[in-house]
Amino acid sequence: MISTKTTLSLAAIILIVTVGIGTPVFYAFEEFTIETPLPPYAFLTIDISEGNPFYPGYGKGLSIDTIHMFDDVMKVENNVTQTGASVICVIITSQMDGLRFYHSNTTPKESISFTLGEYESVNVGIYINTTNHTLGEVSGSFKIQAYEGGCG
Amino acid sequence: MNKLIGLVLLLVGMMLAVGAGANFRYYEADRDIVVAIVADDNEFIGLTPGQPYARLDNGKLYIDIGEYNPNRPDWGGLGLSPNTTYVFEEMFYVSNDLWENNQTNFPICVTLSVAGSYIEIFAGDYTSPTAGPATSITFTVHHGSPVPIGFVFDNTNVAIGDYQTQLQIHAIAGACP
Repeated sequence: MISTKTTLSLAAIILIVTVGIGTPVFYAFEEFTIETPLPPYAFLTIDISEGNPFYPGYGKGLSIDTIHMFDDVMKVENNVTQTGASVICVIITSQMDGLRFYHSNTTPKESISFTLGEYESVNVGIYINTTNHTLGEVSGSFKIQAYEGGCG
Repeated sequence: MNKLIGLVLLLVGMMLAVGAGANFRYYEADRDIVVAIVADDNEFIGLTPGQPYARLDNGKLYIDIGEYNPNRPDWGGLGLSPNTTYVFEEMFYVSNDLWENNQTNFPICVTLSVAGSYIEIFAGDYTSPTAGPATSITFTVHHGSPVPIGFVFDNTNVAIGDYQTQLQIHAIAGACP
Protein backbone atom coordinates (compact mmCIF):
# COMPACT_ATOMS: atom_id res chain seq x y z
CA MET A 1 0.00 0.00 0.00
CA ILE A 2 1.32 3.36 -0.97
CA SER A 3 0.33 6.45 0.84
CA THR A 4 0.75 9.77 -0.83
CA LYS A 5 0.89 13.01 0.97
CA THR A 6 1.18 16.19 -0.94
CA THR A 7 1.36 19.75 0.08
CA LEU A 8 1.17 22.21 -2.69
CA SER A 9 0.50 25.71 -3.42
CA LEU A 10 -1.93 26.05 -6.23
CA ALA A 11 -2.84 29.53 -7.25
CA ALA A 12 -6.15 30.71 -8.51
CA ILE A 13 -5.79 28.54 -11.57
CA ILE A 14 -8.17 25.90 -10.39
CA LEU A 15 -10.88 28.40 -9.90
CA ILE A 16 -13.55 29.67 -12.08
CA VAL A 17 -14.14 32.77 -10.13
CA THR A 18 -16.94 35.05 -10.80
CA VAL A 19 -19.10 37.36 -8.96
CA GLY A 20 -21.08 40.34 -9.83
CA ILE A 21 -24.78 40.35 -9.61
CA GLY A 22 -25.98 43.89 -9.13
CA THR A 23 -29.43 43.38 -7.70
CA PRO A 24 -30.05 44.59 -4.16
CA VAL A 25 -30.91 41.09 -3.06
CA PHE A 26 -27.35 40.13 -3.72
CA TYR A 27 -25.99 43.35 -2.37
CA ALA A 28 -23.63 41.63 -0.02
CA PHE A 29 -22.54 39.30 -2.70
CA GLU A 30 -20.24 41.69 -4.44
CA GLU A 31 -18.23 42.46 -1.46
CA PHE A 32 -16.88 38.99 -1.65
CA THR A 33 -15.47 39.99 -4.93
CA ILE A 34 -12.98 37.35 -5.57
CA GLU A 35 -10.22 38.06 -7.98
CA THR A 36 -10.87 38.15 -11.70
CA PRO A 37 -14.60 38.45 -11.72
CA LEU A 38 -16.19 37.34 -14.95
CA PRO A 39 -19.48 38.57 -16.39
CA PRO A 40 -22.73 38.32 -14.41
CA TYR A 41 -24.65 35.24 -13.47
CA ALA A 42 -21.63 33.14 -12.95
CA PHE A 43 -20.26 32.26 -9.56
CA LEU A 44 -17.32 30.79 -7.79
CA THR A 45 -16.70 27.09 -8.25
CA ILE A 46 -13.73 25.02 -7.30
CA ASP A 47 -13.17 22.49 -10.05
CA ILE A 48 -10.30 20.01 -9.96
CA SER A 49 -11.20 17.97 -13.02
CA GLU A 50 -10.87 17.89 -16.78
CA GLY A 51 -14.10 19.88 -16.94
CA ASN A 52 -12.34 23.00 -15.69
CA PRO A 53 -11.70 25.40 -18.61
CA PHE A 54 -8.21 25.94 -17.23
CA TYR A 55 -7.39 22.22 -17.51
CA PRO A 56 -4.06 22.24 -19.38
CA GLY A 57 -4.20 18.66 -20.70
CA TYR A 58 -2.34 17.01 -17.84
CA GLY A 59 -3.02 16.32 -14.17
CA LYS A 60 -6.55 14.96 -14.30
CA GLY A 61 -7.28 15.06 -10.59
CA LEU A 62 -6.30 13.72 -7.20
CA SER A 63 -5.75 10.08 -6.37
CA ILE A 64 -7.15 7.91 -3.59
CA ASP A 65 -5.68 8.02 -0.08
CA THR A 66 -3.99 11.35 -0.56
CA ILE A 67 -4.00 14.69 1.17
CA HIS A 68 -3.59 17.80 -0.92
CA MET A 69 -3.32 21.34 0.30
CA PHE A 70 -3.71 24.25 -2.08
CA ASP A 71 -2.84 27.70 -0.81
CA ASP A 72 -4.66 30.82 -1.94
CA VAL A 73 -7.57 29.21 -3.68
CA MET A 74 -9.85 32.14 -3.03
CA LYS A 75 -9.63 35.61 -1.62
CA VAL A 76 -12.26 37.07 0.65
CA GLU A 77 -12.31 40.84 1.03
CA ASN A 78 -14.38 43.28 3.04
CA ASN A 79 -15.13 45.80 0.33
CA VAL A 80 -16.44 48.64 2.47
CA THR A 81 -17.99 50.59 -0.38
CA GLN A 82 -20.33 47.66 -0.74
CA THR A 83 -20.71 46.31 2.78
CA GLY A 84 -20.69 49.65 4.54
CA ALA A 85 -19.31 47.70 7.49
CA SER A 86 -15.91 48.54 8.87
CA VAL A 87 -15.62 45.10 10.44
CA ILE A 88 -17.12 41.82 9.27
CA CYS A 89 -16.84 38.24 10.44
CA VAL A 90 -16.54 35.62 7.71
CA ILE A 91 -17.30 31.95 8.29
CA ILE A 92 -16.50 29.27 5.72
CA THR A 93 -17.89 25.80 6.32
CA SER A 94 -17.23 22.60 4.39
CA GLN A 95 -20.15 20.44 3.32
CA MET A 96 -18.04 17.78 1.64
CA ASP A 97 -16.32 14.77 3.17
CA GLY A 98 -12.59 15.38 3.33
CA LEU A 99 -12.76 19.08 2.49
CA ARG A 100 -11.29 21.58 4.94
CA PHE A 101 -10.19 25.20 4.81
CA TYR A 102 -7.29 27.17 6.19
CA HIS A 103 -5.72 30.58 5.99
CA SER A 104 -2.18 31.71 6.70
CA ASN A 105 -0.52 28.91 8.60
CA THR A 106 -3.55 27.78 10.55
CA THR A 107 -4.51 24.12 10.83
CA PRO A 108 -7.11 23.10 8.22
CA LYS A 109 -10.58 22.75 9.71
CA GLU A 110 -14.05 21.96 8.49
CA SER A 111 -15.18 25.40 9.55
CA ILE A 112 -12.99 28.49 9.80
CA SER A 113 -13.76 32.06 10.70
CA PHE A 114 -11.83 35.30 10.52
CA THR A 115 -12.44 39.00 11.06
CA LEU A 116 -11.89 41.47 8.26
CA GLY A 117 -11.45 45.22 8.74
CA GLU A 118 -11.96 47.82 6.03
CA TYR A 119 -10.68 46.54 2.69
CA GLU A 120 -8.84 43.80 4.49
CA SER A 121 -8.65 40.46 2.72
CA VAL A 122 -7.69 36.90 3.55
CA ASN A 123 -6.53 34.24 1.14
CA VAL A 124 -8.19 30.94 1.86
CA GLY A 125 -6.60 27.60 1.08
CA ILE A 126 -8.26 24.21 0.70
CA TYR A 127 -7.25 20.85 2.12
CA ILE A 128 -8.64 17.72 0.49
CA ASN A 129 -8.32 14.25 1.99
CA THR A 130 -9.45 11.63 -0.53
CA THR A 131 -9.30 8.67 1.85
CA ASN A 132 -13.04 8.04 1.88
CA HIS A 133 -13.54 8.58 -1.83
CA THR A 134 -13.51 6.15 -4.72
CA LEU A 135 -12.41 6.61 -8.33
CA GLY A 136 -14.70 8.97 -10.19
CA GLU A 137 -16.02 12.46 -9.75
CA VAL A 138 -16.87 13.77 -6.30
CA SER A 139 -18.92 16.89 -5.92
CA GLY A 140 -19.85 18.79 -2.85
CA SER A 141 -20.30 22.28 -1.59
CA PHE A 142 -19.21 24.75 1.02
CA LYS A 143 -20.95 27.63 2.70
CA ILE A 144 -19.67 31.18 3.00
CA GLN A 145 -21.35 33.36 5.61
CA ALA A 146 -20.54 36.86 6.78
CA TYR A 147 -22.05 39.24 9.25
CA GLU A 148 -21.29 42.69 10.52
CA GLY A 149 -18.92 42.90 13.45
CA GLY A 150 -15.92 40.93 14.59
CA CYS A 151 -15.93 37.18 15.08
CA GLY A 152 -15.41 37.65 18.80
CA MET B 1 -56.40 65.78 5.13
CA ASN B 2 -53.35 67.70 4.07
CA LYS B 3 -51.93 67.12 7.51
CA LEU B 4 -52.51 63.41 7.14
CA ILE B 5 -50.75 63.36 3.78
CA GLY B 6 -47.97 65.39 5.31
CA LEU B 7 -47.67 62.90 8.15
CA VAL B 8 -47.61 59.99 5.72
CA LEU B 9 -44.94 61.73 3.67
CA LEU B 10 -42.97 62.36 6.83
CA LEU B 11 -43.24 58.71 7.81
CA VAL B 12 -42.20 57.59 4.35
CA GLY B 13 -39.33 60.04 4.50
CA MET B 14 -38.22 58.67 7.84
CA MET B 15 -38.45 55.13 6.57
CA LEU B 16 -36.36 56.04 3.56
CA ALA B 17 -33.85 57.69 5.84
CA VAL B 18 -33.71 54.62 8.02
CA GLY B 19 -33.52 52.41 4.93
CA ALA B 20 -30.68 54.42 3.44
CA GLY B 21 -28.79 54.21 6.70
CA ALA B 22 -29.09 50.47 6.99
CA ASN B 23 -25.90 48.59 6.83
CA PHE B 24 -24.86 45.22 5.60
CA ARG B 25 -26.07 42.61 8.07
CA TYR B 26 -25.62 39.14 6.79
CA TYR B 27 -24.40 37.22 3.79
CA GLU B 28 -24.70 33.55 3.01
CA ALA B 29 -23.84 31.54 -0.08
CA ASP B 30 -23.34 27.91 -0.98
CA ARG B 31 -20.62 27.21 -3.50
CA ASP B 32 -19.75 24.03 -5.38
CA ILE B 33 -16.62 21.98 -5.46
CA VAL B 34 -15.89 19.22 -7.94
CA VAL B 35 -12.93 16.90 -7.56
CA ALA B 36 -12.00 14.12 -9.96
CA ILE B 37 -10.59 11.14 -8.10
CA VAL B 38 -8.17 9.49 -10.50
CA ALA B 39 -5.47 6.84 -10.62
CA ASP B 40 -1.95 7.64 -9.45
CA ASP B 41 -0.62 7.91 -13.01
CA ASN B 42 -3.11 10.68 -13.85
CA GLU B 43 -2.62 12.60 -10.64
CA PHE B 44 -1.22 16.10 -10.20
CA ILE B 45 1.73 14.31 -8.67
CA GLY B 46 1.91 11.41 -11.10
CA LEU B 47 3.14 7.98 -10.03
CA THR B 48 3.52 5.85 -13.16
CA PRO B 49 4.78 2.25 -13.19
CA GLY B 50 7.99 1.77 -15.16
CA GLN B 51 8.42 -1.99 -14.67
CA PRO B 52 6.02 -4.94 -14.54
CA TYR B 53 6.88 -5.21 -10.83
CA ALA B 54 5.06 -1.94 -10.34
CA ARG B 55 1.33 -1.89 -10.98
CA LEU B 56 -1.78 0.10 -10.30
CA ASP B 57 -4.65 -1.45 -8.37
CA ASN B 58 -7.80 0.60 -7.86
CA GLY B 59 -5.79 3.64 -8.85
CA LYS B 60 -3.01 3.11 -6.34
CA LEU B 61 0.58 2.24 -7.10
CA TYR B 62 1.90 -1.04 -5.74
CA ILE B 63 5.37 -2.46 -6.03
CA ASP B 64 4.60 -6.14 -6.10
CA ILE B 65 7.35 -8.68 -6.56
CA GLY B 66 5.41 -11.84 -5.97
CA GLU B 67 3.28 -14.62 -7.30
CA TYR B 68 0.03 -12.66 -7.44
CA ASN B 69 1.20 -9.70 -9.46
CA PRO B 70 -1.08 -9.84 -12.54
CA ASN B 71 1.87 -8.80 -14.71
CA ARG B 72 3.73 -12.00 -13.82
CA PRO B 73 3.85 -14.42 -16.75
CA ASP B 74 3.15 -18.09 -16.03
CA TRP B 75 6.84 -18.85 -16.20
CA GLY B 76 7.80 -15.80 -14.18
CA GLY B 77 9.91 -16.13 -11.05
CA LEU B 78 8.01 -15.98 -7.79
CA GLY B 79 10.27 -13.60 -5.95
CA LEU B 80 13.68 -12.82 -4.57
CA SER B 81 15.74 -15.32 -2.57
CA PRO B 82 17.52 -14.85 0.76
CA ASN B 83 21.02 -13.39 0.82
CA THR B 84 20.74 -11.66 -2.53
CA THR B 85 20.78 -8.02 -3.49
CA TYR B 86 18.64 -6.76 -6.33
CA VAL B 87 18.66 -3.37 -7.95
CA PHE B 88 15.74 -2.27 -10.13
CA GLU B 89 16.02 1.00 -11.96
CA GLU B 90 12.98 2.96 -13.09
CA MET B 91 10.52 1.03 -10.96
CA PHE B 92 8.15 3.98 -11.29
CA TYR B 93 8.24 7.63 -12.28
CA VAL B 94 7.24 10.69 -10.31
CA SER B 95 5.89 13.48 -12.47
CA ASN B 96 4.76 17.02 -11.80
CA ASP B 97 1.48 17.65 -13.59
CA LEU B 98 0.25 20.59 -11.56
CA TRP B 99 -1.69 23.09 -13.64
CA GLU B 100 0.44 25.97 -12.42
CA ASN B 101 3.05 24.74 -14.87
CA ASN B 102 0.89 25.98 -17.71
CA GLN B 103 1.79 29.56 -16.88
CA THR B 104 5.06 29.37 -14.99
CA ASN B 105 7.82 26.97 -14.18
CA PHE B 106 6.42 25.38 -11.02
CA PRO B 107 8.81 22.74 -9.65
CA ILE B 108 8.02 20.64 -6.60
CA CYS B 109 10.27 19.15 -3.96
CA VAL B 110 9.41 15.50 -3.36
CA THR B 111 10.43 13.37 -0.40
CA LEU B 112 10.01 9.61 -0.72
CA SER B 113 10.41 7.46 2.36
CA VAL B 114 10.22 3.72 2.70
CA ALA B 115 9.71 1.99 6.03
CA GLY B 116 12.03 -0.88 6.95
CA SER B 117 15.73 -1.46 6.54
CA TYR B 118 15.96 -3.96 3.70
CA ILE B 119 14.76 -1.58 0.97
CA GLU B 120 16.49 1.53 -0.27
CA ILE B 121 15.36 3.84 -3.02
CA PHE B 122 17.16 6.18 -5.38
CA ALA B 123 16.34 8.78 -8.02
CA GLY B 124 17.90 8.53 -11.49
CA ASP B 125 20.34 5.78 -12.53
CA TYR B 126 21.93 3.46 -10.02
CA THR B 127 25.43 4.33 -11.26
CA SER B 128 24.89 8.07 -10.98
CA PRO B 129 21.83 8.65 -8.79
CA THR B 130 20.60 12.19 -8.23
CA ALA B 131 19.41 11.13 -4.76
CA GLY B 132 19.99 8.04 -2.59
CA PRO B 133 20.17 5.12 -2.33
CA ALA B 134 18.63 5.63 1.08
CA THR B 135 15.41 4.88 2.95
CA SER B 136 14.40 8.52 2.48
CA ILE B 137 15.31 10.65 -0.52
CA THR B 138 14.48 14.19 -1.62
CA PHE B 139 14.56 15.50 -5.16
CA THR B 140 13.09 18.21 -7.38
CA VAL B 141 10.57 17.37 -10.10
CA HIS B 142 9.90 19.74 -13.00
CA HIS B 143 6.92 19.45 -15.30
CA GLY B 144 7.74 17.37 -18.38
CA SER B 145 10.70 15.63 -16.73
CA PRO B 146 9.44 12.64 -14.75
CA VAL B 147 12.00 11.37 -12.27
CA PRO B 148 12.72 7.61 -12.35
CA ILE B 149 12.78 5.91 -8.96
CA GLY B 150 14.87 2.78 -8.47
CA PHE B 151 14.81 0.19 -5.70
CA VAL B 152 17.53 -1.77 -3.94
CA PHE B 153 16.42 -4.92 -2.14
CA ASP B 154 19.00 -6.23 0.27
CA ASN B 155 17.82 -9.69 1.28
CA THR B 156 20.74 -10.50 3.53
CA ASN B 157 19.54 -12.71 6.38
CA VAL B 158 15.90 -12.26 5.34
CA ALA B 159 13.90 -15.45 5.84
CA ILE B 160 11.61 -16.92 3.19
CA GLY B 161 8.14 -15.45 3.27
CA ASP B 162 6.10 -12.40 2.25
CA TYR B 163 7.10 -8.92 3.30
CA GLN B 164 5.14 -5.70 3.09
CA THR B 165 6.02 -2.11 3.70
CA GLN B 166 4.77 1.33 2.81
CA LEU B 167 6.14 4.14 0.76
CA GLN B 168 5.29 7.66 1.78
CA ILE B 169 5.37 10.50 -0.70
CA HIS B 170 5.42 14.11 0.37
CA ALA B 171 5.64 17.01 -2.04
CA ILE B 172 5.82 20.74 -1.43
CA ALA B 173 5.79 23.67 -3.81
CA GLY B 174 9.14 24.92 -5.06
CA ALA B 175 12.46 23.32 -5.95
CA CYS B 176 14.33 21.57 -3.15
CA PRO B 177 16.78 23.84 -1.34
